[in-house]
Amino acid sequence: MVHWTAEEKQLISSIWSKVNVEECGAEALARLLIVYPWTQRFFSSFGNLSSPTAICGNPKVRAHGKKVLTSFGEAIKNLDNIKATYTKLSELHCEKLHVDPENFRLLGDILVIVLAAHFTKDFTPACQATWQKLVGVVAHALAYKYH
Amino acid sequence: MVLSANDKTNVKGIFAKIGGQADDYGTETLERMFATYPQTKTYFPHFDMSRGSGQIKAHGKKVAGALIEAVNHIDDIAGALSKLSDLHAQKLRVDPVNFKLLGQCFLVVVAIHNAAALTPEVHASLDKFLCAVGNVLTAKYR
Repeated sequence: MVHWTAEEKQLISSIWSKVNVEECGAEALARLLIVYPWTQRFFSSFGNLSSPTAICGNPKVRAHGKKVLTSFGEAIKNLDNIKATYTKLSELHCEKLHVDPENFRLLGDILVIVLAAHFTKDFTPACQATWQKLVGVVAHALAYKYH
Repeated sequence: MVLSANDKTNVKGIFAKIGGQADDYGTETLERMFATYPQTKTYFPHFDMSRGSGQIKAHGKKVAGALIEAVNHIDDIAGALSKLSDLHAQKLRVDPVNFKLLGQCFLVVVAIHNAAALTPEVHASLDKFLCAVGNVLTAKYR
């Protein structure tokens, strides 16, 4: 079980309460597909991913980004039991979606950058450290049921 | 991984925007790296790690200087950073994984101070550039 200090919990919730899940999720997923183009391999059904403009405007990317970040919110609601929260999703990503867990780490790093751009000076080093820890824990939980 | 003409333009562009604040960016990058990835402090056991540390400031300036040097010779990063590459291989021997951590923190600093300029395209180019620098610095490791 991951240990979160009171300060870390506060840094997570204070940022999360101000996040627009739809916008932030869309941005994070779009940037993942643009910065690490090989990640597009999982989204051949999404239509036009031919340019950064196409990716940013793609409604399927936006919708999926929102879905992914909404799920992230579940982890935040269950900080003391993230592994259990993601059991089914982990199995899904392994058995059905066949996603290399490295992609979870890449998305986590991108999310931190998107938050930094949005919150600027409020995204203090302590904040960054906490959120980097959180995305790492989520990535680990999503990979946990892989076999 | 190769830097396209667009990548080079994007990287030069963002560094032009950073301008004279590069040293501060270097310092902040290190501060954030030490806070976020405490294992990176193991390479600096002799450092005063408190906020405002003169040593971190000086080292941040060095790191920024090296990045600027790479930008100014973006067609031949290996040539421009050859001596630094030797240093990292023979003396410093910083594990290669740490260059990605430094790169992540630099991107965060740029995002904080230049959010509007860090478009997805520039983000991609800058990430590639930082990877290229890391690759050059570890190229002679073995």
